[in-house]
Amino acid sequence: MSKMDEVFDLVVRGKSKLIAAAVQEALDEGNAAPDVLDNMIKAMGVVGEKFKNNEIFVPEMLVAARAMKKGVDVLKPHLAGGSAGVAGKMIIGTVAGDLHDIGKNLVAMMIESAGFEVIDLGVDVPVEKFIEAVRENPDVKVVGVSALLTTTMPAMKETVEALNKEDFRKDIKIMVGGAPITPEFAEEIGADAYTADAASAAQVAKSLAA
Amino acid sequence: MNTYRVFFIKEKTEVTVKEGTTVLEAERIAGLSPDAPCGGAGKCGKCMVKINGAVEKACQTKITTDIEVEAIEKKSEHRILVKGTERAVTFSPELEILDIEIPPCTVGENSSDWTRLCEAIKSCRKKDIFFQPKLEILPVISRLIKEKNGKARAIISGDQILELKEQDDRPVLMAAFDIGTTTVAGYLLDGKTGEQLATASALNTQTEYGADVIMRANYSLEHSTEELSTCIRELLRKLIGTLCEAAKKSPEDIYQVSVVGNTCMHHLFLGIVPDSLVHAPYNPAISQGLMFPAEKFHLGIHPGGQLVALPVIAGFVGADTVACLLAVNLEEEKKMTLMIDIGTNGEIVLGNEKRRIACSTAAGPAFEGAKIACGMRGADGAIEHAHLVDGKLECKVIGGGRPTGICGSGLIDIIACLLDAGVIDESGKLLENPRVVQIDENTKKAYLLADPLESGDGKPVYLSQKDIREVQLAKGAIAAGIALLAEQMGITLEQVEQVYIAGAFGNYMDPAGACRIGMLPGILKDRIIPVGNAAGEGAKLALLNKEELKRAERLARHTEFLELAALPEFQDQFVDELEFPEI
Repeated sequence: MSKMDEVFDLVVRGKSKLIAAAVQEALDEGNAAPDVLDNMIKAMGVVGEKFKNNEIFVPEMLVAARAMKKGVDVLKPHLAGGSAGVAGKMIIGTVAGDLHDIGKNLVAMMIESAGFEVIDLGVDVPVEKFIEAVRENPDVKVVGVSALLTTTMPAMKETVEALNKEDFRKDIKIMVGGAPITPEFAEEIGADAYTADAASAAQVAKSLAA
Repeated sequence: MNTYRVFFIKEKTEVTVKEGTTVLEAERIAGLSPDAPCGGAGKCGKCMVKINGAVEKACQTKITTDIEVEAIEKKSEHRILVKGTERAVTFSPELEILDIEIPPCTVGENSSDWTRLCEAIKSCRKKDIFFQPKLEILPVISRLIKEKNGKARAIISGDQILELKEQDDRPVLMAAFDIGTTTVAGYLLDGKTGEQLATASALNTQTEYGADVIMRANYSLEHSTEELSTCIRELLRKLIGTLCEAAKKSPEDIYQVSVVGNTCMHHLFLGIVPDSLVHAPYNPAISQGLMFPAEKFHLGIHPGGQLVALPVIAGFVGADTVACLLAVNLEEEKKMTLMIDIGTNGEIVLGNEKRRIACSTAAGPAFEGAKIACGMRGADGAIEHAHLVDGKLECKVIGGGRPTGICGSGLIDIIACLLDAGVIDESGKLLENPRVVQIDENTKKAYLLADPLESGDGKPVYLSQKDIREVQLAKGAIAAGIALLAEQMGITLEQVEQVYIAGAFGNYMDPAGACRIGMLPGILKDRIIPVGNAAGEGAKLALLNKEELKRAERLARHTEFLELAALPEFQDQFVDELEFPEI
C-alpha cells in the first residue's frame, strides 16, 4: 500500500493515533501537501457517502472526522494559505439554548473537507453573534444553523429570521439542520436549504457557494 | 424423563423439576430471585447454596435426585451492597406521634384551646415549637376535652400539626416513592416502628406521552403540564392502594409521603412547568427540599398528610441521585467513590466526604432496550446474560424459555463475548463469521442469536451492526463522563476505591462485561458493587430519620455539578471512548 493509500485508509477507519505519522511519511515521500489534503478529503467523502447509505453510523463518522482533523493538523504548516478555503467561507453554530455540538461538528468537518474555510461559533450562539460574525467576514458565503431539540427550534427560527432582515442577506445562503428539523420547517422560517446528514450538507454547501 | 422434587428450606417452597435442571433454574422456577451476575457461567460464585448440606454452585449443579436446598447468607461484595443500600439509621422520623393530655380551660384562666394544645405538645416533647394554627383542629380539641378528658393523639411534622384525634388503635403509616422515567417503585412504612410493610412497583404511565424526559417536557410545554402531573399523581394513588391492600392497611392512615425522581419527574409531579429544563443552561425551577400539605396531589392519603420532595442538584441530576447519595451516605464516605445510576440519562457522581462532583451523560435508552433492533426490557424471553463455552456463545434467557429479545445486561454480555471471540473488532465492526448474516433489506449485517425456529416468537433474535454502534455511543458517553469527573477531581481512575452501580440494570449487569466493553474502567473491575434501587432506599431514609432529610439537603447543595456539554474536552474524550478496549 502506498503512503497515500495508507492515509486514505486511516481516515476511513478513523485511526487518529496512527494518522499523524502516516501523513508525515506521505509528505516525506515527496507528496505535495495539497495532494495529501485532497486525498483525505476524498476519504471523508467516502465516509460521508457510506453514512448516507446507512452502511456506517455516527461512531464511525466521529472517529473518521477526528482522524481527518489530526491529519490536517500535520498538514497545516505545509499548506501555505491557498488550497484550504478554496470553496469559500462558511459560518456555523448551534442556536441559543442548545448545547449539542456533535452533529454540528461533524457538519463542520465535512464542509471543511469539501474545501471551505469554516468559522465555528460553537454552541449556545445568540442571534447577535451570528450577525456579528457575518459582518466581520463579508466574504462569507454560507451560514449553517444547527438545533438538536424541538425546544430550541424556535431559537433557530429567530436566528434565521434575524439574518433574513439584514442587508447582507442577499450575499449569503442559510443552511439549517439537526434531528428535529424538516425541509418544511426550513422553508417556513426562510432558510435556503436543509440537509439530513453531514455528507449532504457538504455537497449542498458547495453548490450554494458556487 | 424423570422429575425430582427440590425443597428450599429457608423459603419453605417445593418445586418439581425435570432431571438435568440446574439448581439455579429450579430457584427461578420456584419464584426466588437467585443472585447470579455471571448468568450461570459458573464464574462468579455468587449463587452458592447448600445442597443436602454440601456447599455447591447452584448454576453448575444439575438435579438428578430429590434434594433439599438451603440459601447461604451471602458474604460477597453483594453483602456490602445490602449494608450499603439498606443503611441502618436510628428510627427518628420527622413525623412524630404524641399521646398528650389537653387540660380543660378553668374559669379565669383565659387561655385558648389552641394555646393549651400547643402547651400540651410542648410539655410532652420538652421542646418549644411554634405550630402553624389550623382551624379545622379547633373543634377536635373541645370534643376530646369533653369526651376523652383531654386525652388526645397529635401527629406532627415540622411546624405542622397534621392530625389531632383520640388515642385509638389505628396505625400511622408513611410511604416512599422513587419516580423513575420508566418505572415507579413504592414502599409502605410503619410510622411507629419504621418497619417496611409492603413494596409495589408499576410502569410510569406517563410513558404514553413520551419515552424520555425531553419528550415529556416537550409534551408538557406544547400541551399541558397538568395532564402529565395528574397522570403521575394518579399512578401514585393507585400504588398507595396496592401497598395498603398488600399490608391490609388503609391509605387514610398514611401521614407522610416522600418522593424522589429525576428533575423532570420531580417537576412534573409537583406540577411545575419544566420549561427551564429543555433550554441551556438546563437549570431546575426549584432545587431545595420541599415539605408541604399533600392534599392537592390527590394521593388518597390522610387529608392532613404531608408531602416530602427531596432536593435536586441540577436540571439533569435530580432528587433520585440525591437519594442514591443518601443511601450510600457519600457525605460520610472516606473512600473515593464513583456512583453511577444508568437509565436514559446516566447520572454519575464522583467523590467522598470531602468533595463530590456530579454529571449527567446522555447515555440514551440503549440499555433499557430502546433503539436496539431486538431490544426489550428485562422480562420473560429476554436474553439477560451470555457467556462463551468453547468459543460458542451461550445465552441465558429470563424465564428459561426461548429468547424473544435482548435486555440491557444481555446486550453488554453478548458484545463482551463477541469481542472475546473476535467476531467484533475493537472499532466495533462485525467481522465475517458464519453467524453474521443479513436479516433483511434494512439490516444488512447482524449476529444471529436465534433463528425463527429457535426463538420464542418465530422472529429472529439478533444483534445488528447498528445496535453495536448504539451501545458504543451509550457506553462512550458514560466512560467519557467518568474520565472527565476524575480529571475535574484531580485524580486518576486507579484512585477510585469503589464503584456503586445503582438501578435495576446495574444489579443485573455483569461488572466484568461492563468493563470488557469499556463502559466502566477495566482497572476498577473488582471494585464494582451493585446497590440496587438506591434511590428508593434514599427516599425511605428521608422518612425514617429527620437528620437524613437534612443530610439530603446538604448533599444536594454541596455536590458540584459539571456540565459536560460545556467542556471542550468532552467530544474528544467521547470519541476516544467509542472504541472497545483491546485486551
